[in-house]
Amino acid sequence: MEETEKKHQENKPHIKQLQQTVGSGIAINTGGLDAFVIAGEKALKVYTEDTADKTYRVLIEKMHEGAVTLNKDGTVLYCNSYFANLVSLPLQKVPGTIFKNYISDTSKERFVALLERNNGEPVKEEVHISSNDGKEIPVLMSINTLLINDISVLSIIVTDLTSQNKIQQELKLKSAELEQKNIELKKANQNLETRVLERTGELEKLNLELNNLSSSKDKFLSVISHDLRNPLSALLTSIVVLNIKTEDDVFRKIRPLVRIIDTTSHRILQQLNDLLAWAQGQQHKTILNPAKLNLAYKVDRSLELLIEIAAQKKIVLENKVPIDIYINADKIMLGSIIQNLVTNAIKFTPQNGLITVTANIINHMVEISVTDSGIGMEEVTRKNLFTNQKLTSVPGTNNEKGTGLGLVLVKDFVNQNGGTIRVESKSETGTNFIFTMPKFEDH
Amino acid sequence: MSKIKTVSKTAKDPDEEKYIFRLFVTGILANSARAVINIKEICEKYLKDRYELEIIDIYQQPELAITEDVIAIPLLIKKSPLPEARLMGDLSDTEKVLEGLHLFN
Repeated sequence: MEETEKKHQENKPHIKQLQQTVGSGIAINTGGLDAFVIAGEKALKVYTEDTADKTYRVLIEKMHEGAVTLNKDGTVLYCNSYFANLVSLPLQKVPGTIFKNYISDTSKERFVALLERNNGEPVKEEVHISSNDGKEIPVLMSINTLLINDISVLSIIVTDLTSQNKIQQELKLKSAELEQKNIELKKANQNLETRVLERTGELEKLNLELNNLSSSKDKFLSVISHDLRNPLSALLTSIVVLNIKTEDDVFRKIRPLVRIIDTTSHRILQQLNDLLAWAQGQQHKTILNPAKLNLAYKVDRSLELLIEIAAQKKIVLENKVPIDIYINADKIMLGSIIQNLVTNAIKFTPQNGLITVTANIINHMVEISVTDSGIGMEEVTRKNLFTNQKLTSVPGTNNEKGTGLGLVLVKDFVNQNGGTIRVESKSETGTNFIFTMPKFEDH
Repeated sequence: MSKIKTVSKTAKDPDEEKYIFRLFVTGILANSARAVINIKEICEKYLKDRYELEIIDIYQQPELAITEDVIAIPLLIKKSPLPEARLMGDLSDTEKVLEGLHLFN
């Protein structure tokens, strides 16, 4: 009995262990445990149920990266199916092989160097692997040393860079193309700039030549008209002397002739003055001295100079400009405008005609009209009136001649003073020249 | 790419029958890893260029395990030459492995 008791005491711990084991077995059968833990001599041993580590295992098995573990001599201990696919071998054919044999010859040295660098620290490097069907595949290898149950293994993650490299290459290609395009564009731009510069240079040169030509022409006209005025003055003085001595019988007989010479000479003088004024205007286009002018007074001064010529055709000159209109214009130019228009009117008005100057204010401008009872003009003549493209002169009613320059000059002067000019005319019913000048305004 | 194959095309004696082994393992577990290392060493040492070794991870290729009635891992099966032989464990005792596979007959 005593012996039985003793044995029972000895077996107590075994019974306890057995009870626990049996209980665990029941728990495992009902799915209530994750793992068995047994204290070994060196460390704890953990026996897990399949589902416990499954998550990590499946993660490695199914991931889209190659996973390989190597023995320290480089033998493959484990690989996942992604890696086996990468090297085009059945999964069961890869473990047991030498991993270095998968590295392509061009990358082998780098791979060996990479292994040497891996001194417990994780390392990464881009290498090429050769697959069983002869493909060269660029990959990124991440190598780490692990200690699994006393066995030191190298764990390698292999990332396929094919598509990544392809994209990079395409990008590089596109980039290069873009750069090429850019260079071409720059070149084209430079060519264009050069051509523009060349053309501009040519144009400037031509312009200069043209200006030189134009100014020498203007100078020429100016000199000629000036030089012609001097002998004409002498002629006019002689005519005055001739007119004084009309008491003499001989002179009485030639008196009509003297009068013709007198008129013609004055007309030549007028035309020369026009020419000179125009030529000078062309040479110094910017010289303009606007001032406050009483229009009625200025019209009177201009008409006075023309009374003689008008009288020869028994034409009446009438100034109907209101006395209180003031304009802001260049004195000499205004005189020239009125004299030209009135002279023109006299030319195309038959004997006993009437020429009227009127003016009225429209907003900030003064509209001035020179109306005659003359022969009017044809539509064609009217259209070409103010252009010097085709200088034409129509003979007057007494067959007076002109240069055709007068109206061009008038338009130029009107425009320079900030006004406009137009003409209303019908054949046989007279002509009406209407121009505007800025009204003088106190500020 | 023949260099990476475990089977050499230039067997020393073409008349001698080739050894075909299947090793069943479980992923990267310790005994399985040890078994891989050991069988590889044995094959290279005693059967160089005369063997074919398939290492099957029963987690990844369970269908291959079912056909062979595997009940414990690691398991080494010698398929050829006959008779078929089976060894369990990490194969660390080389002498026992050689004996078990009838490599000295």
